[in-house]
Amino acid sequence: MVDLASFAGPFLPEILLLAGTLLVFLLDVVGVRRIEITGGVAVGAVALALFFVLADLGFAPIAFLATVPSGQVDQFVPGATPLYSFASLGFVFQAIFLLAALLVSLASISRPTGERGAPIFYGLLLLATLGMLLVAIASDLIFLLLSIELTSISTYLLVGYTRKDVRSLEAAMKFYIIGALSTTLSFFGASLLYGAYGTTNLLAIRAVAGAVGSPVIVLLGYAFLISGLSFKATLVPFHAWAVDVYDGAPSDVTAFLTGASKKVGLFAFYLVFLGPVLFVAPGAGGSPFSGGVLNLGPVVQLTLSVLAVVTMSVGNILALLQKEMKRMLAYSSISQAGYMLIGIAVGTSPAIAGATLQMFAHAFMKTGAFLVVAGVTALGVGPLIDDWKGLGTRRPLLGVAFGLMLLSLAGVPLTVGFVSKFVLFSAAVEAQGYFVWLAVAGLLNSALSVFYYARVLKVIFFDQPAPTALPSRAVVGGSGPPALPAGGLGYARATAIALVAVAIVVFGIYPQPVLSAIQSAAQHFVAVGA
Amino acid sequence: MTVPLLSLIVVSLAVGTVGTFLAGKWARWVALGATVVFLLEVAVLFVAYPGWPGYDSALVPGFANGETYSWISVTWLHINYSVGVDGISLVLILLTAILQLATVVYSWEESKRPAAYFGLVQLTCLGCFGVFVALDVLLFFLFWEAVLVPMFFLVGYWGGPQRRYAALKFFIYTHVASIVMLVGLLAMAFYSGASSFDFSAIYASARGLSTVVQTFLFLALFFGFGVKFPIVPFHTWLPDAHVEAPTGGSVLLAGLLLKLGGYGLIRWAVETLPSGFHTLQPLLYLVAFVSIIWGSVLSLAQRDMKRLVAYSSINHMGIVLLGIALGTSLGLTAAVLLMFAHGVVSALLFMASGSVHHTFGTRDIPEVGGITPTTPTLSTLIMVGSLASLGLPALISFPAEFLALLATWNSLAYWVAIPLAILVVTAGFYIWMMQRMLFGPPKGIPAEAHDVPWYEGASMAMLVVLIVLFGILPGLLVNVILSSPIHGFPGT
Amino acid sequence: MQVPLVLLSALAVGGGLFVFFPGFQSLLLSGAGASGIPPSYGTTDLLLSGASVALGVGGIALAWSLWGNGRVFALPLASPLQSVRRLLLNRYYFKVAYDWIGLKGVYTISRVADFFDRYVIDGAVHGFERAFALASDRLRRIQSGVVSDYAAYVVAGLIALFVLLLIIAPFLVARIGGG
Repeated sequence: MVDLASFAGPFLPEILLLAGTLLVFLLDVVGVRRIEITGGVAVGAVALALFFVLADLGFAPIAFLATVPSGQVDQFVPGATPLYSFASLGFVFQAIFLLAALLVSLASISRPTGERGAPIFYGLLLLATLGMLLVAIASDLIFLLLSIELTSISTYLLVGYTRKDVRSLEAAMKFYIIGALSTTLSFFGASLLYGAYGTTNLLAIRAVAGAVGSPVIVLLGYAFLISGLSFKATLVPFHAWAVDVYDGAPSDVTAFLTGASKKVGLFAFYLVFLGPVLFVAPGAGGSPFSGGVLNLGPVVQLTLSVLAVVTMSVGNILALLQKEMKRMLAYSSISQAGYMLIGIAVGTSPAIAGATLQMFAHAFMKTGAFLVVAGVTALGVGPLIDDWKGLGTRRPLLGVAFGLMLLSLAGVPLTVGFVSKFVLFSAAVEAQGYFVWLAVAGLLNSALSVFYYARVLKVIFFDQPAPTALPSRAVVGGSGPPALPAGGLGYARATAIALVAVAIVVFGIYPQPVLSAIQSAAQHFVAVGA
Repeated sequence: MTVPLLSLIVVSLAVGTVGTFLAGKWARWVALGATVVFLLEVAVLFVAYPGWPGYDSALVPGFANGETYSWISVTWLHINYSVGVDGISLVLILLTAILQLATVVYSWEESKRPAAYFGLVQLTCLGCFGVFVALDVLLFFLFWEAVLVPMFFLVGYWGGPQRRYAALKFFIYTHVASIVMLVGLLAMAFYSGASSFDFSAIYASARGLSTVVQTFLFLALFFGFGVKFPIVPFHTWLPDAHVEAPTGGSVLLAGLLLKLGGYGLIRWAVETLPSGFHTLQPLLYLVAFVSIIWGSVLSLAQRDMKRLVAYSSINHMGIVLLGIALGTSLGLTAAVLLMFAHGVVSALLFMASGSVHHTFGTRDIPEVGGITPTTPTLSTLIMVGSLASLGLPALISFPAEFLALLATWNSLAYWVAIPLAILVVTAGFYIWMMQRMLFGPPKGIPAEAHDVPWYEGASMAMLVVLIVLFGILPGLLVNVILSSPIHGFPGT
Repeated sequence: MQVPLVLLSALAVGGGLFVFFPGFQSLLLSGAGASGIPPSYGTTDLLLSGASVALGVGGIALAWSLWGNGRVFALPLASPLQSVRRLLLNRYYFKVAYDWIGLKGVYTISRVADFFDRYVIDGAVHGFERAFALASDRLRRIQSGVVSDYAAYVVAGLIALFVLLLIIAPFLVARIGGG
């Protein structure tokens, strides 16, 4: 017991998810397929895992339940090359992934009865989340890429799990093909780096990166790695799949993709670039071809800065004219990835904290938005933004909740989206140098984004509802889809949406506990091995 | 001061707002109750204000009723909930309370979702109050932006035929400006190495920045605050927003929202960045003169009464900017007094044009004429408003404009000819408007037209009383304004 | 209409009288602040005020002497004062001048300025909007829905990264010295 517990204990969240996955499939085999039960198992597993991760993060009342001994967190033995290690920033990301998974699995319990495939959906969801948890503790490039692959394959299947919807299937195929290409690029990049560094361990790379002998190969390796990881993080121009997939996938799956899966790619950027590249003592500088020791950190920072600006600008400009709700949200999600990348490019501990907080906020607002889309679509509302006319007057509560998510995405004060952008852009200004211009670019972009969010608000609250657009309460269940309680949304989905709305406001007004946890995690992350 | 009076007001306004939203058909009573409470609290604030007999200006930056609580604090970012008032904010707080009361009473019979309407009105006033008391960058920005959202809905839902376009334009214009302002504020905080985002910390350190940095920061802040003013050429959101806004929205927009720009410029740019301010002084003069001329000349061309008043606001706020740009204690006093004056007078005129619209079905000046026999009360109110706006002595704008011109003369000598000459144009378009609408043969008067209902009359009459009272006794306000240590300026 | 006019004139008269009291400025700015306000009302002010009041009183006296107590006075047609009478009848031609300057001159400028405001300034804003819309429309076309296109973008992005990482970024970093 002792040995097993001390080995398995730190992995309790992962084990819970694995057990949940197995239980869901087992129930399927024995014929228990009711969505309430399957979904309940998934929600329970994710919630328990989240509980223990929060304990690991040291939140006061439950800190004594931490599964990882505090002596193992943020501790690194010089010279050791472990496959995995526990960092508090990793726990923060585990919490973000689990949060998104929790919201999605909770809301998905409320789907029109009769829809099949619940066990597959929940099993794959848990498996994908398991992969994410492993990403968050990876400290070896190959371990990292394999964990990403576990997530990716689960999500390919999730997108197409309904099997009958042609659009979903097409989306799944696109996702798979581009994903496979990107995986290839990532592994090729990793092998180039192995060739240059002689190790794939990220901590070991940090030790040798300052004095690398073949900068051209290193940079080529990073180019391949960036393009591979950018697929997951939906950075422009590696984003094109995302719009079609977000659009074609069932909206609950999209919520998971944007809420959790995207951040896997961004956290991989943290692991691959922040430790091993940015914090390495700068070399002499000069062209990589001239044979000098390369100033690796600043070169990568500049590249990521360009990527960040391009991503947020292109995402926002493309979102401007979108007429379909899901595609608009998809482009907005792409531009949000650009904001987050600012934090990685700046690379100071405040900036890392800002980017992480932005991801935390995004996990609520974008996941919530797609959960609303799924619910509203189930009410018989079409895909166009104009089909949403009158939501605010016919369903004031839902309208206000969705409005809050949009305001938060736009970064309007008293929402968590404002706090996160404020911290992120403050951090860029704090870093001074050319990073101030990253903050300016980010702020101008968020001004641009207001245009399309405000337009949706206008449609929802001001425009006269079209007679066919949104059935009023009384009509639900008449001839349309079978009626669900809570205004046609179902209790579980309504609860998830309400949770998101409350979280947006609560963390918008009082972000201190979250921010201080993230900030201290970011500082530990920066301080490692320094 | 042991009673956290300012927080108490914030809480009571917030409770009033939420209560109004939930009150259903009782919304207007709840709104009225909350407003009266607000007024009483402001009265207490005035009585408790320590600046009365002779304020100790050594207390830089001395603010009364100060409160500070840590809000967000991590290693590199220290944000407090810090509030406090000085004479400048006190006068504008009084304006906020007055206009909230006027708006609530004027809109008494609002039938389109009254609960939401009154709630949004109160939310707007809460935001404005917050801006005037906030002494922390984030808190300030938060209230600043919090004004935007309710105004967006007020214009977009209760407005005129083009309301959706106007609401979007207003939102985007002012939001872009806010963002530039935020960059300026953040850069000011970080580049100066201030120990926190508090006004006092930034005030202490930002003044030490190099002139070049101060100039850039001031430019960003000037743009951010200037759009709210609004300064030419970033003013085109204003006429559209005013024309489409419901009357209550116009009142708050002209009476309060424009003042946010003036207040922000004084508090967060002029006081904190003196070298930047002095470098850019010529630019400020230029913009002020252009706005004065542009607003007045364009007023003359307007047929829509609301549009006319809107453009005259650009003119008046130009004089406010001129007062600030002078950088003297007298100019600043004049600017703040004029902000108060314009707040009350433009509110009266917007209400009057709203009543004209209700009564005659149009606000087109050439369409309506000779309305005095039909609607004597309304005509009188329009006349008092117009005369006050063109600066008739014994009405409130006179002492304000007089002080502004005097301050201009003191600093710029003969340049005072420009605002003086423009005063003639201002008088011209108001008199021309009165001549066409109030007098002459009756025209375009529907048979069922009758004088204004009691609630509209009462709210406007209240403003008239204030216009006359402070017109005769401007010293009441000037004393309060002068009690603030107007930081960093010489005595004249 | 009469009542407010009477009220206003009473206010004007009452307000004007304050000039004769040394406390006028303290009415405007009482207390500590008054010292910061420069104008002091010396002899010049008194002379000017006295002169204008005297003019007004003189006018009233003249009118009384001509029309007071129901007397009728008509200026002879041949009188050299006829030109003064015309001037007075036309109120010093103020109205004509106002109409000419105001309506013809300033109003024309106003209309031009209004046109400028509505079409040029707003037009610039709309032009900005349209430029973004155009960019949005153009960029949207790369979203073809064809997987092979998307793969091509990935490859193009990879090549762009090569250029950025190997050539442009090292060059720029060497120039600006990093963050």
